[in-house]
Amino acid sequence: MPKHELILLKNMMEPGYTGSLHDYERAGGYQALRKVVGKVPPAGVTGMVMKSGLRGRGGAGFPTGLKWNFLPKDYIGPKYLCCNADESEPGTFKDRQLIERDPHQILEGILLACYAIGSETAYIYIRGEFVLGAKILEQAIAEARTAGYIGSNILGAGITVNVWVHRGAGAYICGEETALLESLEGKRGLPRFKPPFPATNGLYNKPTVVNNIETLANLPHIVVRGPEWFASIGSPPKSTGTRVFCVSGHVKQPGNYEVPMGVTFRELIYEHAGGMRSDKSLKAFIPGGASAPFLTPNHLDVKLDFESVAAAGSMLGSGGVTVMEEGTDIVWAALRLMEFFYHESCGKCSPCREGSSWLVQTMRRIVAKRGRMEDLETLVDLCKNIEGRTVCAFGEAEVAPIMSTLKHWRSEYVTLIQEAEAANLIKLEPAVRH
Amino acid sequence: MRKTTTETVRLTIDGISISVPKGTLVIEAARLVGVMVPHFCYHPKLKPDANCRMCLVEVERMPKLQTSCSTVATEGMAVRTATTVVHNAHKSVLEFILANHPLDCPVCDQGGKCDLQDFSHQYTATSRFEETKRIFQKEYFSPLIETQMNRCVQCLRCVRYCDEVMDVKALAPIGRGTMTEIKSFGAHPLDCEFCGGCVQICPVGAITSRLSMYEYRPWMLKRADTVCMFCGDGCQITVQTKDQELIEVNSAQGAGRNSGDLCARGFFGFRAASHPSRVTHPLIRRNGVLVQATWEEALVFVAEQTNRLKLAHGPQAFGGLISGRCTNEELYLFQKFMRLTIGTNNLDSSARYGHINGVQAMRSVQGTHRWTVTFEDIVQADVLLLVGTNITETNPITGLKVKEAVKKYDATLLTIEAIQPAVGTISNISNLSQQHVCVAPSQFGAAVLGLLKAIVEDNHVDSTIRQRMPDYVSAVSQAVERLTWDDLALSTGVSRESFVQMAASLAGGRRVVALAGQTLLRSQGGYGICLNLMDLLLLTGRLTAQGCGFAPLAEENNDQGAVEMGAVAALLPGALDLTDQDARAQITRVWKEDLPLAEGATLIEMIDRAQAGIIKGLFVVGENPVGSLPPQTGVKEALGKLDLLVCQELFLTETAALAHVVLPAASAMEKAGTFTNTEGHVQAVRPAINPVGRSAHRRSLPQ
Repeated sequence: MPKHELILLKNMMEPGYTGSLHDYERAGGYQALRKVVGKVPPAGVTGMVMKSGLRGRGGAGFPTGLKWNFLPKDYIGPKYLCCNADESEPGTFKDRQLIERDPHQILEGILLACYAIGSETAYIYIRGEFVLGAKILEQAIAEARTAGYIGSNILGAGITVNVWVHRGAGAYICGEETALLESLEGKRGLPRFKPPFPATNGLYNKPTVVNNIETLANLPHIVVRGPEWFASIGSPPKSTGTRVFCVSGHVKQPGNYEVPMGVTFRELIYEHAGGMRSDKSLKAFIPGGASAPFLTPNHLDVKLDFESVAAAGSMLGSGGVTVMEEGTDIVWAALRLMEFFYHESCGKCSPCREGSSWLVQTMRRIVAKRGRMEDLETLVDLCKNIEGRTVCAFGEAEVAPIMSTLKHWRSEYVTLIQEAEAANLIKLEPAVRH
Repeated sequence: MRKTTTETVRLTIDGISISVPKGTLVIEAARLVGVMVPHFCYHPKLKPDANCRMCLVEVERMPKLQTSCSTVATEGMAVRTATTVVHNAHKSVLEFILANHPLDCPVCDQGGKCDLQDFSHQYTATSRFEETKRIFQKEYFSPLIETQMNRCVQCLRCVRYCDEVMDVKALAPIGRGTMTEIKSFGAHPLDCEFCGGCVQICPVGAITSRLSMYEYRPWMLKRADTVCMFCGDGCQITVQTKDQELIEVNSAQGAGRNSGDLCARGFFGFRAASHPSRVTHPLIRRNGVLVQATWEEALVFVAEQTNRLKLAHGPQAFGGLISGRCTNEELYLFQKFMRLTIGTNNLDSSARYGHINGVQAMRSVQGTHRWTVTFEDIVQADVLLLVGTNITETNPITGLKVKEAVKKYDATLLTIEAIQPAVGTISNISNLSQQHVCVAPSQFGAAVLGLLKAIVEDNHVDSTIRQRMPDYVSAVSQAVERLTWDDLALSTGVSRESFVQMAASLAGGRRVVALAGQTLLRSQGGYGICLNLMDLLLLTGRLTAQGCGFAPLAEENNDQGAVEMGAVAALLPGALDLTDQDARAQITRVWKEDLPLAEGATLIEMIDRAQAGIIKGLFVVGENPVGSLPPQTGVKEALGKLDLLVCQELFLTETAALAHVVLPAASAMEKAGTFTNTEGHVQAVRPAINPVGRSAHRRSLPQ
């Protein structure tokens, strides 16, 4: 198995590492903060991040430095950093591990980001179910505050950053950045229409940056080891650094694997995750969380970077790789994901709200062998009518499972429907005879 | 900072080129060239929410279809609303919206005025949806509002209106996805001020009025555009009737001074006019009991009694009192009747309760009897000072202008009110206040003086005023010097710092409007406090500046008209001074008859004179002094001593119950004329139904 240097997961893989401030400092923690605060101007930190080529790890893969640069330059007044820890994408569980096992790595990243964008307040919006994570973060914040890393006059440089943990209330949509801001403001978590973007009109209508936890965790390493080092990892120039991939499903060793971007799915699944769990071969996999279209064994040699996966017709997304073996009912799997999206559609805009209920009901019928051939056409039509017409990216996400499975495994749908039609004929027979 | 901009951008919509002010939304630009982009959630009053996705259009150089309700027109933009792609997008969104809709048009009150129905026809919408529709139970928001959430298209217009326009936040979407329904916010029944805004703004039949359920289709109704008969705001309403029955009142979006907004009284209160206890026939007191009579009998009775009393005691033995709810024409006729036919200036109207104080103050300081500002100026103001208004209750629509200024355009609101801010579902203007001073109504004067003192002491006096009117400035300075901060703090409970801060905000405003409400105008010294409020504006150089001014709020719909028509003792028509020789000559020339010389008695004086037996006969039109005045005035006893009390009334009020003759009056729903609203707009009143019973208003006053 190829060995890759661990960056984000390095500390926590050390035996006996507890994630405490003491352990983190001993492992070289908070050196990045010491290196820049009062020594490197904030724009210098942004410059480093730009140069590193770091892209958002939440799903969309937007360049982090560019995002920071969108903040109005000469703005007077509060700016905010919001850390998106609302990890709710089915098949994704990397942020949870980063939070629970090495919270200070995240806090240092937050402090660096706040320093770079000039924010004095950071909110960690953490998924409501991450009760342990929230508790660990609270403890870590208290430790860092006592040690003088958080609060006023950080490291004697006259800089103030306060970090607050806010627990979500169990809505998937609150992982969408504008819905997250609404929820943080105490409102119903519904996405806002954009523009204006959070960079200018974010939390409390102030300039705001929303960054994913894993994105932030990369920052201390970029600062300490330099942007050039970071940019050399992975598949530069567009996809630099490592990603923590969450491999789940029918593999021998499901779990989080940190590998440089650009390794192939084959390496990730067969070498890191131990390969398929039985002698059944791989039938399908989702490359980047439930919102990403399904891929087939033909795509196993696709490289794990943003561009390659996009070119293969899917997306790298949140890095949640779900593997399905031969024998898996693909239509059922698509229905299962559709059930999730139906349950989580916030209801703000018509195509998503009504479309998800329509799609899920049609899918249920097909799986229950009550489908009709024309349903397939309707499904495709509905998906096309949802896609691109919704307020947020949820619309694209919810049609991905159906569209991609219809593309690659249409025959399975057809078989189910043919069975249904055959069953119906038998049922109709007595009526015809009579 | 805002709204009016002179910059324009040019764009094309379906090939038609149009120039629009910068910041105009594409959907509005399209409307200007006559293209109606279908929509549900968009409403000109509300911030764009872009949730229904119905208004998709093609914009050149944009990859996806854009919602025209949230896209701002930019220079050179090319928009296409009529392509096949757009048409199909509209059709597909409509298909989604119809998916869970019950299609119960035959039993839906919105049928015939429903956006969903109209668009479905327009797009000949069919649905492939064959799955199970979600079902909600029908609910009632109180005895007034019905909700049928199966019909809801989740456009959230009602929720947004309730928050953004009314500042009430009584409604909220509950549940997620298709199971979202609009409910009262919190686990309690709807508890709000019932402005009816949610009913008016709902594009479908999800929220409807229970006052007019199942009774009609819109095309069966007769409409009359008229003016509301309640407060001084003068809202334009459309009264809808069927076979002489009042069915519904609403106000078209953007219509009238209210721009389509209404309050509980305007929207739900219309049935007062058709209440079964209306007086429908003339009544004459015979053997101590009011008995039904004909108009001829009643008029002959009144004429005989009036002549007898006038011969025996002269014209000064009469008095007249009229309500500010009457039309200008009625008010004018009544004062002319009192002054010429009877021959007395003993005459008053409900403006006496308070509105006259504001008008007289304006007359003495700025020489006008009307506001120098308009509702638009309130919306555009950057500083608003409200004193003793309780505006959301007394003048709710003027209150909406204040809310708009504060919520939409970030005006600074300063309030001196007798109410405390309170979080609730009844809007309370002090909740929006940047600086709120809560004092008892008796201390409004002291609070205004404190503000005046702070203006003078902190040198906020405008330099031009100081140069032009040095005597006035020094007189005011000396007067406020005599007040001590300790005394002011003792009486108002407000510290010097608060006054200083408020004065600074006031002096910092470019467009300042001071509003005085009935709590102030009716309080003791109301006239003097109005003068002091104008002192504040004058000293800061804001009394004559554009968009600035003093605005006393009229309580009754035509209090302003009552003053202007001369239905008060001291004023002739045109709000001319009775004691002014030129004014008298002018009126005499027109009337070709001499005016009575003696100064007239006001309301309280008339009651005192009735008590003393000097006034023997009283004509009362639509006014109820026994019900309105405090008992210590002895009004009931005084009226009991009269030889002749003629009441013209809608209902048998406490006063009418004492009358010798009661004449049935016509309500504003039944007559034509004009009302003058609080800002001085004269607006047409049109009959919606025939006069109830025998209350023919043309014959109501002897001419």
